[in-house]
Amino acid sequence: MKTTGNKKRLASSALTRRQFLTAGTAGAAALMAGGKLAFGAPAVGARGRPSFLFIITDQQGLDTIAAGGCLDVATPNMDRLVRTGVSFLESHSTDPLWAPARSSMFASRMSSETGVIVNGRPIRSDIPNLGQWLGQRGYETVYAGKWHLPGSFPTEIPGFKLIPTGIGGQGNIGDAAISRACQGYLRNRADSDPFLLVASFLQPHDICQWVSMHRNAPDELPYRDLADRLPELPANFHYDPREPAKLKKIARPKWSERQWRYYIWSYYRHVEMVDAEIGRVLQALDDSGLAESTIVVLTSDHGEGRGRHQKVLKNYLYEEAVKVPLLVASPGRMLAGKRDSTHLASGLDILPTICDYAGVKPPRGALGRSLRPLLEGKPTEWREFVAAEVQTTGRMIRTPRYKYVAYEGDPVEQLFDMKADPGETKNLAGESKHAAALEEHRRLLRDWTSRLDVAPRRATKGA
Amino acid sequence: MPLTLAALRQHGALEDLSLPVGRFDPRGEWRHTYQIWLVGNRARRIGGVLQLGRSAAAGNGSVTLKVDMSVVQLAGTIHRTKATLQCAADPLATPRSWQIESTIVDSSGKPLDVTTVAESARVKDGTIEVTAGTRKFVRNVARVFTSNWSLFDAVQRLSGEETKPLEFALLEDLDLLKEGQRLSYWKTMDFELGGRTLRLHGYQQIGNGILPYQYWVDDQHRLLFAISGVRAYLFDPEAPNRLEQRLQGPAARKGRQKR
Repeated sequence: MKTTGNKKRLASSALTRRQFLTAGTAGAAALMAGGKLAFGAPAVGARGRPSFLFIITDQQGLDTIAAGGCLDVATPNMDRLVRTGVSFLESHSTDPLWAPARSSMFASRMSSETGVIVNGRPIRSDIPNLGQWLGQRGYETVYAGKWHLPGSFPTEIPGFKLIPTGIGGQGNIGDAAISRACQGYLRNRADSDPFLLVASFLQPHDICQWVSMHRNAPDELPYRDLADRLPELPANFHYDPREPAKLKKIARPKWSERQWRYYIWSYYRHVEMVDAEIGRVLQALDDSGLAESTIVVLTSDHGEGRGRHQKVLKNYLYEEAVKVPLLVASPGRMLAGKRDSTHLASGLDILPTICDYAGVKPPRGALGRSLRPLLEGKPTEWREFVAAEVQTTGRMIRTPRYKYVAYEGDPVEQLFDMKADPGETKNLAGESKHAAALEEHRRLLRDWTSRLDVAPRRATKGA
Repeated sequence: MPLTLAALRQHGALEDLSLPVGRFDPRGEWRHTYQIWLVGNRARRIGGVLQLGRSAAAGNGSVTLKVDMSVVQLAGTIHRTKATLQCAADPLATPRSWQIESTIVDSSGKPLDVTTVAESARVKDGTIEVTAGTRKFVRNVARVFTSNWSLFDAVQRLSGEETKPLEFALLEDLDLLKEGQRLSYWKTMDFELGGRTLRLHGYQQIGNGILPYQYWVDDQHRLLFAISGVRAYLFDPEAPNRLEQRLQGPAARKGRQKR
């Protein structure tokens, strides 16, 4: 009865339905070439396959979830995903900046390959995005919220039916529209085909405005009730000053200890804001009876400084910027409450994982690995390292023990022993007893870089 | 600088406001209109409108709050929320039952039906019974809670320095539960605006999932300003016209073309 009612309602408002579909139609049309699907395989029937809810937050560091051990935040909704699914504790952004990281999530290619090395550029036209790929293979692909490839909140996205919601710089109020739109979609959808719904929130990104507004604020707490609520400074607030020049160029606020703590406190409130919006969408999944048939994936594009190495914001390769949550949950389909601290994961892995569960091969050239065996607790050979980059000029290699960072043209390299020094406070690159490790990681980086299908450089700058 | 009344004045956000004069009874019937004013790295402008009205207490002691809120999204759509709340006549104007509808409308005002959520709800024995179409859901709720819209009413009935802090859970937009809220008196100050000196009484709200709120009421207990993070609510009966001007203005058209 409900389905019929929904169909009637949608049919009776053909104009609005058509408007809703416009972007998706345009996206699909763009994929067609001479009657063939531009990216190869024909569409196949889709019944019986799981749906996907892909939740993206913006600027959320890895260790910002209460159930993951963060004592300074209340995140009951992300906690639920931690409890019911698998969380990867060695999860890395491919490029800790908005658009580059997102291009990797949606294309399973490094940002230097997608061509999105700065914000405001599209993914290279010969590389399909996840929406295009699944849309051709029987999935209804729907997107709400931030995109940034190139438009931040555009009016159309290739391969997706778009619900145009969200406000640049205003996750505090724009994210509500995104979660409400997703709630409506999940409750109202009439189709029985599986779906890929992307809920792409802006928070906790508003911390950028917060930092900007407080850079020169007076050294006092504006609210007396805050005094006994502020988190402690991080253990790696003091850091090794032998840094590459790029890191020194990124201005560190000249704040007092109290101001740093107030900033960290404020960041966690931003995280709680997005947690609440996520809760609305998860609740809608339950309410609509779709939870059992849906796999939930949550990640973020990059982290946030939080005073570690006395840094704010992102766009560098310290852990606070490059490590992001990666949660996958689908009760009955995979492990529950598993915290994987062993396997090195990457934003590259999202597309292959979704494809694996959808029963389709990932696009040719995809660099990521399906996380499925790890999610299901099955033995598998896993990668020896993950890589990340920043605007192609800085790159890192992370192996189980070491992290190596090099910036183009900069004689200062960084090598950290991540087992002994997870806060990256002591650069070992100049120490002779680590020379072999340094050389090995240089080699890994050279080999890895040489295998990339790098996109041609564009003259124009992104946003 | 952090968003404060002084910062809002510096940004020019308060320049054209026609602030009310005369008596005001926060326990009576009233209707307020606010600009939702947003500050970002690149734009400082009206981003929406909140209209909020209150009926006087009925025979059963309840009051009714009516909410109509529009927030412009970057792509030109508008997130529209309408709600009617029956609230207890208590300090927090605790919602007891409500109807709410949220939808995304396109720039011509047509709703994108697929995004519409319409619910009615009532609070019963520590739970909320929600009805959406033919479906019913039950949610847990804290013993002491209120909504963000109720707080716009509640702060007008606080008693300045004599106010004892209120602790509660926030049911934001009648949907998102945010625990650990504390609302307390902050300070009283004189504020120069439009050739007038306003005596303003400030309250602060701190809690999970929000940046601290500053509520500023005048000597008549009328809520004139609420500020949180990068967002401010500015008392402004002209707000709907201003929003319309923004939506029709050259900047909006240019922005749409750029996107």
